[in-house]
Parts: sequence; structure tokens; C-alpha cells
Amino acid sequence: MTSAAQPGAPGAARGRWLGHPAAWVLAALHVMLAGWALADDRFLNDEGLLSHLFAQLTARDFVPAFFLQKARPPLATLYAPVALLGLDVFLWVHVLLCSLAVPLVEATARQLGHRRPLVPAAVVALSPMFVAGSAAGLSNADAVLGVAGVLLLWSQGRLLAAGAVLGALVWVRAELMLLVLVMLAWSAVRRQWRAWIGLLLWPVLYGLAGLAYHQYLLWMTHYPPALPSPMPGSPFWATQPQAPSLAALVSAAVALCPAVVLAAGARHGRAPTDLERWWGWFAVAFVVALTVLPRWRVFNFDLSPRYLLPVLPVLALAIGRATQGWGARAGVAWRTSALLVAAALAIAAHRTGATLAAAWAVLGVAAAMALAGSGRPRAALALLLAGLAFGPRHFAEGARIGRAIQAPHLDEMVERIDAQGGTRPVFTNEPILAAYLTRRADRPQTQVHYLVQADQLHELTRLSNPANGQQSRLLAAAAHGFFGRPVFPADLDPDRLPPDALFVLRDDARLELVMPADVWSPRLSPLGGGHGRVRVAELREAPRVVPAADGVEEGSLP
Amino acid sequence: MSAEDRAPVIAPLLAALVTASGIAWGLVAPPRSEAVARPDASTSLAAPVAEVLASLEVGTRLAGWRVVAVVPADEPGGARVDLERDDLRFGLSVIPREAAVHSAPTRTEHWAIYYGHVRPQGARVPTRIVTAVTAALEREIRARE
Repeated sequence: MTSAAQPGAPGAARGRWLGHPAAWVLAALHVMLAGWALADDRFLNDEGLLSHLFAQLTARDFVPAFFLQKARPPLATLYAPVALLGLDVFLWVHVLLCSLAVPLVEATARQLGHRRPLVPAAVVALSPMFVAGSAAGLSNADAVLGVAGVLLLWSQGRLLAAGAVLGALVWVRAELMLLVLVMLAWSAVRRQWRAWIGLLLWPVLYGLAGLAYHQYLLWMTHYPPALPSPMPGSPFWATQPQAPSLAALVSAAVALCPAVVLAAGARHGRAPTDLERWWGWFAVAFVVALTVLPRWRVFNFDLSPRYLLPVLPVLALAIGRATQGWGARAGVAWRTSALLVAAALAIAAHRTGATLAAAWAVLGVAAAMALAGSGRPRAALALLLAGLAFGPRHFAEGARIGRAIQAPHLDEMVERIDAQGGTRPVFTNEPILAAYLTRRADRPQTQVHYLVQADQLHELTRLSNPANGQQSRLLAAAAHGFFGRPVFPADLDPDRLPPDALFVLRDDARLELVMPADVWSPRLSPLGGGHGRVRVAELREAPRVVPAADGVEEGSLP
Repeated sequence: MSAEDRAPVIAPLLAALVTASGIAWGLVAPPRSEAVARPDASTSLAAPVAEVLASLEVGTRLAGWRVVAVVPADEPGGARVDLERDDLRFGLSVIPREAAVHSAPTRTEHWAIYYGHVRPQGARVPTRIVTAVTAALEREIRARE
């Protein structure tokens, strides 16, 4: 390793890549925590399954999947080699890769001259939302790894590489376009044009290759990475809130990092570098944008807290910087004001529906700051780390990634399926059910058919090219597995299904679009024991159709 | 040591004190709604429904939603559980099945559960959330039937 002569000055130094051994211990801790969650499927999540699905599509038919921007091509290509080995292998590889963000952040902090580079590493490793996203297989967690890599390269002055990685990252998480804008602005001010070249590498190369494939100049905008607006007539968005509540915001912040309030003290933390200030502005703009965008339904952003994950490396560095000066007289008024504001927000959030987690977190940070102020920095750090260690188990609820929140009806679905013997072919609109059943070794294997929803099919067809065969090849690749064995709306015909088919349906307003009541109500016989949240039914014979006297056909129930 | 020197200790301690007070407030007097603060359920609820809802107190969480009130329902022998989260509130009415006029989406052996009373008016609670909270209430009831 060469030392950082001028921390944060691009090109001034080349920091070591491997980081401090303790950072790898923290990375291992992250793997253990996420692995613990994997064991009980705590964070089994449809968005994580979607990442696996895209990697599977890429492994099955590389070219059409690679040029489907929706499939997050860089990420799907990365995971394609392991995608066909099963969900477990995919998730473990995901956890291992995500854990690399920990030493990367530590190396960045060291590069920037932090006195305690292990603090930001610990913030990343123990972030409740990052542990959850890592275990769930979310692409947002991969974005943390990507951003951590970009920040390290950037801080080392490897601007071409930093730009190249960031340019590709936008095809993993489109919201990272904000970091691209920051890098463009920063490099323009500093006249570091290599960053511009790097940023253009992926879009140009990928765009040209796609041009050859699609034979269409404007293919990138004609088949964008996400729907510019929701599918017309989809009832899904009608059920989604448009603005976050205070309780949700505070809970999400604490899930990102329980010590988030410390970041407010970063500006007094022993001279943050120019780069850190730019990144800080990125983090602020990112959070504001992701909080405001859902109001207009732009690019299908909802209010899922997981979208905030990419700011974690920046937040961690800010917290690390803050702990360098948290016991000093300078800035004490600012830090205390931040604590009081955080306390007020936490209490107000509690009074409007959040748990007391945020208030406990603020209390812990305040106590640690008092210890630091009394000249006991080690005790303060120990308290901070102890608080962070509690995070993944006690502050994760605000991330809203957990299976119990996303699909609380899963266990009842399994019970109802098993009550019917457990071997009947199941048709469901619950995307997690197939994966959940597969991972239950204590029960018979059940063939699960997933009812592809109209808006899912709309997205796949709207974002792929029907003219060059891409669309049909993608649909053929998806037929091997799409949250189970897929049943596309056109194939969902009661007369073409196995007679012992068991319908296990969650309440979803979109279901009417693929199973219209006038067709399906006469053909489904509800099975007793339904409790509202899960509907279980089996097929019954078609009503006899007899010609009416006036020649109009009418149905009569058997 | 001057007051200025003590500031890095005293100031965060004051913030800690304020926070601790808020926590104590939350523990001793959990948030409740202005108009539907829970009356004494043991005297105002019919005995059978009070029995099956005995585990519910103000502050109890059902699928992450906080119980803010348990009050008699309009239907005889029933009760309404008001729940709140993220500035949204809705009610789940627990009615004896024999008194239930309409087909209930959720039923236990003796009780029908209905959803309604969403506030603020015009707000919508996502279906999956209603489903999850109803399921949690149903489990509570079934455990005491």
C-alpha cells in the first residue's frame, strides 16, 4: 500500500485494495448475519427472486436477455453463472458479494485519511437494511457494493475505472443516475475528463452492441429499462400511498443505520475532504428525490425504503468522519441540535405509529457522544458498535423487506395446500410461494404454477422487441421458470387446466385482469376454511350450455 | 473545568434526557387516538367478545399496526378494533356470526370480521395490509374461541 499523501485528491495515491484484516472480520460478520436470515427465509422477497429470475433468463438465453434493459444486464450477467444452480446458491453468492462492500468502504475511509476507518466499515456491515437486502437478493444491495467500489476508485484517482463502473451501475439501479450527475459536475469543475470517458464506456459500447442486435438506432429509449408510466388500467397503484409518513421515513432511516443522526456531525469531523462533501450532497439529493418521485409515479418508483440503500457507503463515511470529532468542543451546539431534532422526530414518529426503535437509537448515540465528550473515546466507540450490532435484529422492520410484512399469508397457504394432500398442482398469484415451498424440506414437493399478472406481462412485452425475435425468445426462456411454472394470461383457460388443479390465491386487485369473474366464478368451487386473506378453490365442471328459446345461449349451474 | 469545557458532555446528556423522557412517555402512555381512546373494555364490551379480544390492549401490535382503541361495535355483541400506523387508521369489527348480516370476508368459528372506518376519509389502506392485520386478529380470536 502506498500512503495517501493528499487524501481525497484524485491521483495522489493508490490505496490498498484489501483493507484492514478487521474489515474482513466485519465482512464475515455481515455474511453470518445475512446467512442467519437465509436459514429461516426471514427476508424471502419477490424483488430478490426477480434478480434471480433475470440471471436465469440471461443464463438460458444470453443475447435477448442481455439486451433487455429491464433485466439489469450487468448484474444478471454477473450472477448468470450460478443462477441455474438454484435459489440457495444464488442467495449465498449474493451475500458473499455484498459483503465485499465492507472492506471497500474501509479502504475508501483509509484512502481519505479517516482516523477510524473501521467505523464506516462497521456501519455498512451491520446496517439492518443492508443485511436484509443482502439476504433477500435485492439489486439495491448490489448497488451498495457498486457504489462502494466507485467511491474507492474515485478516491484513489482511478477516474476512468470509477466512471466505467458507475456508468454500468445505472443499468443496475437507474436511480444512480444522480451519482452520475454528481460525478459529471465534479469532474467538470476539476477538469478530470477521464471520468467522463469512463462514464460513457458502458452506454456507448452497450448501445452500439444493442444497435447491432435491435437494428434500431433509438432502441435504448424505445425499450427503456423501466416503464415510464404504470400500465393503463392497472389497479395496483391505486392501493399505493403517494407520500411517505413521518413514521415510515424515520423507521427507514433507522433501518439504514441506527446511528444515522451522527452523520449530521460529519462537517465538524476533522476536515472532511472535498470529495466527501460532494458525496454528501449526492446523498441528500438522492434521499429527497426518492422520497418525492413516487408522488408522480415516475419510472414505477414506489416508497420502498430499499431504494435508499445506495447512500449507505456515503452515510457510513459521514458517520466515520463524525466520530473523529464527536467529543470536541467545536461543533457541540450543532451536534446537540441534530440530536434534539432527531429525538423530536423519533418521538413524533412513535406518536404516529412507529415503534420506539428510533428513539432508542438516538438515546444510544447521545450516550456515546457524552462518553466521547468526557474523554472516553474507546468506551464511546464500544457503545456505538454495540448499538450497531443490535441493528440487524431489532431495527430492520423499517426496511419493509421481511417476509412477514411482504407475504404474511404464506404459512396459511402452505397449511391449506397440505390440507389437500400437498401434491395437487397449485395455481397461485403469490410470487414467493414456489420458492417458499421448495425450501421446506419437511413436506411433499408441490408443483406450483404462477399466474403471470397482466402488468408483469405488459412490462415484459412493452420493454422487449417483438420484431427481432427478442420478445418470443424471452418468453420461451421465462417458460422454464417464472416464480414457479408460469401460466401466461392467454393460456389461463379453465378447460385446459388439470382437473385436480388447486387455486391458492392472495387478495390482489390485479387478479381480476387475468381471472375475470364472469369467466372464473362459475368455474371455481371455494374450499372451506377460507379466512379472507387466502382464497383456496378447485375447478368444477363447466355449466351446461343449453340453447334458449330465442336462440341466445345461456348457462345453467350443474 | 469551565462550562465550555463541560459542554461536550452536558449537551449530549441533555439530549439523552429529552430522548429518554420521550421513551418513558411512549412506554407509560402509548399513543392513542384523540376521539377513540379506549374505554374500559371490561365494562363496555359484551363478555364473549371481550373474552376473545382479551389479549388486545392499546399499544398492542397486529402485523405492525398499533391498536389504538377497542370499542363496542354498532352491531349487538360486537366490538371494533381500531388500528393505526403511518397516519392511517382503520377498524376491524368483530361481530357474532349469527348477528352478521353481510357475508364476511373473514370468519372464525363464532365470529365474523369486517374491515372499514378508514381515516382520514378518502384514504386507502393497501389490500395486503388489511389482509395481514385481519389475519393477525383472526389468530388472536381463534386462540381464545
